Parts: sequence; C-alpha cells; structure tokens
Amino acid sequence: MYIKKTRGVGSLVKEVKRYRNAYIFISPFYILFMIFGAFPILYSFYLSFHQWRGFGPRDFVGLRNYMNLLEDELFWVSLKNTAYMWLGHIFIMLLLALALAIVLNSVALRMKGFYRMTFYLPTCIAIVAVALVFGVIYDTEYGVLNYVLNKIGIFRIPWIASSKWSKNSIIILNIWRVVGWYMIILLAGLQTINTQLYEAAEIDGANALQRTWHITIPALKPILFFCFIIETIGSFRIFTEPYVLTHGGPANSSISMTLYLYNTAFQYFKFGYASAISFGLFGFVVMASWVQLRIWGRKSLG
Amino acid sequence: MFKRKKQRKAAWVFIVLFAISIMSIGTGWASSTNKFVFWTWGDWTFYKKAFDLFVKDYPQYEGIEFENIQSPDSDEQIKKLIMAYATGTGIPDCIECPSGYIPELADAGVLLDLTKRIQPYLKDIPTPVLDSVSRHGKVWAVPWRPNTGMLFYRRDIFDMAGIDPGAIETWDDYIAAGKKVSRTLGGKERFMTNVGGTELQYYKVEMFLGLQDGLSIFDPNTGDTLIDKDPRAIEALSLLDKFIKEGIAVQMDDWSGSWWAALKEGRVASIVTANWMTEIMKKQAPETKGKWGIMLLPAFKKGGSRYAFQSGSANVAGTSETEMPDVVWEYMRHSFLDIETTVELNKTWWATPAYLPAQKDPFFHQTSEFYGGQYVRELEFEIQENAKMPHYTANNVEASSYIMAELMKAIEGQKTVEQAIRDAATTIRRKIGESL
Repeated sequence: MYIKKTRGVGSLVKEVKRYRNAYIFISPFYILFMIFGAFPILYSFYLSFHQWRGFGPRDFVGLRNYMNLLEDELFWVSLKNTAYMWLGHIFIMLLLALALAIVLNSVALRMKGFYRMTFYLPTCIAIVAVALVFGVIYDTEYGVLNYVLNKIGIFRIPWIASSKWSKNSIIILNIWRVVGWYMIILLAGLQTINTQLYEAAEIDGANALQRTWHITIPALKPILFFCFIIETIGSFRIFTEPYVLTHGGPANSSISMTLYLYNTAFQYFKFGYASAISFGLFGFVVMASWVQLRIWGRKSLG
Repeated sequence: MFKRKKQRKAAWVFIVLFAISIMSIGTGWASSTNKFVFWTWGDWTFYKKAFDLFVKDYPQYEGIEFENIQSPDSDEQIKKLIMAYATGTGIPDCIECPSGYIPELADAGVLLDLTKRIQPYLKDIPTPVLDSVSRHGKVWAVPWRPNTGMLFYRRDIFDMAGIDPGAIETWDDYIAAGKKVSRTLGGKERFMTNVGGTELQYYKVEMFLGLQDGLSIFDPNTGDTLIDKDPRAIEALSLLDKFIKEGIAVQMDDWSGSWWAALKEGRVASIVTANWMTEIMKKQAPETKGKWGIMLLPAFKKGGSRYAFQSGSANVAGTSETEMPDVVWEYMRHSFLDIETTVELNKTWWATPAYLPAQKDPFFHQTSEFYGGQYVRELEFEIQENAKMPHYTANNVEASSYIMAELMKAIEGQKTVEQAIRDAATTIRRKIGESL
C-alpha cells in the first residue's frame, strides 16, 4: 500500500483515517517504542530534576543534580576512563579490521570462509562469558597469560589488579571481541569497489600500498566513518567488560560512565542523580559524534 | 468494498491479540494468595525445609505453595525489590534481608512491622542482634544467624611454620606470624592472608572497625563520618594497607577461582572472615577437612576486644504488601524462634541461631569434625555475647565504596593511607553528608 506524502496536520489526520487499517498493523512498534523507549527517556529526564531513592516520594531539586555532576570528581574520572578506553582501541581496532579485510579480500588467499568465521566468532559470544574467560586468562597468580610470560622470562603482570593495567586489559579484550565484526563490514565495502580501478592503477605503475592509499581508503571512507561512529557510541556505553572483569577497579581506575551510572542508581539508590549522569553521557556522545562529523566531513555520510 | 471490510476485521483481530499478549506480560509475575513467595540469595532449600516443617506443624496452611525467587547476592535482591515496589508487581511475601538494608527498607515502608508480634521473644534475642533489626524503636525482621567475625587458619601450615595460634592475640602478633610463614615456607609463594586485587572487601574493614568498640562509618549520635576523626577508626582502616606493606598478604580477590585454589593448596594460610564461612568452606573445599582451625580475630591492643559482628545478622522479614502477614509471621516464628525447628535445620545447615533458648540445646555444644574437633559454635556464642553491633544507615554501602577506592590507592602507593582516609572522609561529607 502506498501512502503519499502529506503536508499539514489536517491532511495527516485525513491520511491516517483513510489508511487506518495499515496504521493499526504497524502500531505495535510505536506502542512498544512509546512504552519501552520514549517513556523511560522522558521519565528519566523528569527524574534528573528530583532526588529519589527508588522508594517513597520524589523531592524536586531543580538543577542541583546537574550542578553536582560538574563538581563530581568520580564522574570526571569515569569520563576520562571511558575516553581512554575509546581512544585506546578505536584506531588500532579499525586499522586491524581494515588490514584483515584487505587480506581476506585478496584473490590469492585460500580457505577464506574459515578465516572469516574464525575472526567473526568472538562477536557471537556473549560479553559476560568473554569477560569471565578473560578474567581467568588475566589472573595474576594463576592466569594463562602470566604463565606464558613467566615461561619466556617476563615478570608477572597484574593485568586487572593494578590501576596502570586495568584499562589496557579492557582495551585488549575489546579489540579481540569487535575486530571481526568491523572486518566483515569493511570486507563488504571492499567488495563493492570496482576492480577496474585497481587494474588501471597497476598499469599506471602503482604499487600495493599506493593502490590501498589512493583507491581503497577513499572508497571506504563512508564505511570507515560509519564504523567509527558506531564504535564511538558503543565505547561510550561500555559497561559489561569493566563490570564483570574489574568491577571498575582497582580504585575506580577502570570505572566507565555507564558503570558509574549503574552504581549510582542500583547500589547507592540515587535514581535522580543517575538520571542526570545519563543525560551527561548523552551530551558527550552527541558532542563526540558532532566533532567526528566535522573532522570527517558531511560528504563522508555518503 | 468487500476487501476493505476484510482488512478492518483483520485489524480488529490483530488489536485483540496484541492487547491480550501485552496484558499477559503484566499478570505473569503477580503472586497469588495460594503462594508463599520467598526471595533469597542464599541456599533456598534451607528456607524451603523450614517451610515444610512449618506446614507439618500447621496443617491449616497445607494448601499454600512455597515459591522461591533466587538472586545471586543481597545487592541484586534489593535492586529487584526496588523494581517490584516501583512497579507494584511481583512483590514477595517474605525476604531474606541483611541488617545493613533494614534502615532504608524500614524508612521506605517496605517491611512488615513485627514489633507487637515479636514482643514475647525480645528477651530471647541478644540485644545487639535485636538492635540490628530495629529502627526507630520498631522491630522489622527476625534474626536467625548473627554474623560473627572469625579468623580461619590452616592448622597444617601453622604447624609447619611453627606458629602457635593461641599466641596470636593482637594484629601485630598476626603480622609477625605472617612473616614467619613467608620466611619458613617459601618467600613469595605462601602468604598469611589475602587482600583484594581488583577491589577491597569492605566486610573485612567493617570487622576491623567493629573490634574498635563497634565503630562504624557514621557516628550514631551526630551522623557525621568518624573515619578521619577517631584514631581507632584510622587504625582499623589502615590494617589492610599494613598487611600489604609488611608483605604478609597476596593481592587476590575473595571468591575468585584463584582464591579458592590458594585456600585449597594452602598458599594462603588464614583468612579474615565470618561464621557463614563454616558452611561454605565445608561445601566448596571438602578436601581440606580437618585442616582448618577457627579462632577469634586478633585485637588491636593486648587485652583489647576480639569480638566483632559482620553485616549484623542473617534475617528474614515480611513485606508490607503481603496478603498473608499472619502466615509470614508464623513461618518466621516457627522457623527461627523455636528450639525444635532450629535444631532440625542445623542438622543439615550450619546456621548457629540467635535464639537464646535454642543455644542451650546440647546439639550446639558438640565438636566439629571438619574443623579438627573444635567447639566452633561455642566460639560463635562467645562473640555474639561480647561484640558490639555497628551502626547501620541507609548510606553505608555508598560510603564504604568511597573508602575502599581510596584505600586501594594507598595500597597501590598513589598516596599515604592517612591521606586516603582523609580523602574518603571528604568525599563522604561532600556526596552524602550526615547519615543517621
């Protein structure tokens, strides 16, 4: 059924009346979105101006939660940690994903399906399970990683039991977990590039590096930008890895913004303040996306 | 025209089906009067057995079915309870409730007031334990196992190192013995105890504070934090850092796989813990039978207190929304304020009672085979009698997280322990303020 473009509220109501059966069939999405999407966001915004412990009455506090947020040292620590974990993995991960995609796209490589599946597999495993397994691998005393390092003469590293290492351990886990996913996206992008461009470049004497730099990367720019944005949003929402692996420690060295939000709401029962944190987080994600948009240019959106 | 009618009919069918499916989500979890819904994070079979014994003695309740809803830990259960009260659905009849949450839940009107019903039993419950389930002069839960702080040590390791546990009276003695363990049994491979790796455990610090005249984070009279004002609190809060700096502790998280491995292998010779560990150790490390001994926690000064509670006691409480308050009370009374049931339950589970008449039963005055023929329960009674109950407020959980994060910075050498305590106190005052 085709619904033609309408202008004005009156004509919109007319259109809805005319095609009401169609609207009824698509209404479950909107109803569920209103209940589980829009309402919690609006209610959370309302709560951010209140003090509420989950039980009993809500006290209106105006902008106090937002003012406290600006002075909250732990909020800034969590923001710094989140930014560190984001910057620490996004470039390495995208570079690795691109390199893997290029290798897997080469004509000479055999058993492509096997490699594709192997690199993609970590994406299919539940994050909690991954974090638990990495916890065992990273264990200072009994961990596999330190056992191997010990064998080659390197001293035990407190992977998750030291403020210096905890964030880096999460970064390593994250790269391992998501690189396969972005590799597949980039591989799909690579397969859309016209091979004649490479042939022409080869005839003109361009080597492999030049072909990658002058053909592959410009052609993949919109896809790389998409990957960058998606991973940035995901990185700012990082929760399970620090929650399961380090509990945000030691000494809050790996606490992320969402983990701090969770602790504030569900451990300290400060739901109003937690809502303010969530809007702070939202602000930073919007800002980071805007900055990226400015850097990469609007044309990158394709 | 005919097609349009058909479409309308299909749309109506669709609306009805969608409405039914939405409504069924809402009603799926609600408790019914034939179900006794119990929430726990511990061993639910213990409470189920107590319910079976209750129904056996009260046949009029035979039609009621016991339904357990399990949580992984007490914090998770409290989160679920908040959600249940916020939405008004799925509220249980009865819950396992730690003493630390009673002020908050009582103030919020979540708990069933037991003050009148429990009157005849007040004299049969140790006063500090009763205090931990009371708020503003009212009683909100039935305590069934006071949590008493203890030191578990490996008899075999102590023997090998030539340490007499009876000679350890103070923490300084303990540290000296710890150095002997490392010296005689192999440098960095054997340690006297463990301190958290990724996070420090507040329950240990809580017991250290408890040894200092039952101190807690907040002053019970003023509500201000006393951690940076009272020298005894500073001494208690510095102890974990001292363990590390003196080289007697390995950094390893409690309950992790490596922690259990170290306990079983004897790499960690002792742990600061509480009486609930007696049951857990038997189940998790049965191969260590006969190797563990239990003693009082060392004191801070010679002749000082060696008695401390940890998280008050294990309690059961009714909820204010239960449709069967009488059944809830009778269940709690029959299970935990009755000699016969208490003894019966303890035949399978280690749940040393708070109920004083039951404590006199010969059953609780036997030696424990697992703990090398020791009278462990008598040690528990001694602590119950002499320990002072810390002051619990609704903000202890949050305040303790700030303290532990700062203490970890001291352990990592980022600041001195004195500075860490001062910084934790500043954060508590700024973010929480006074807490009574």
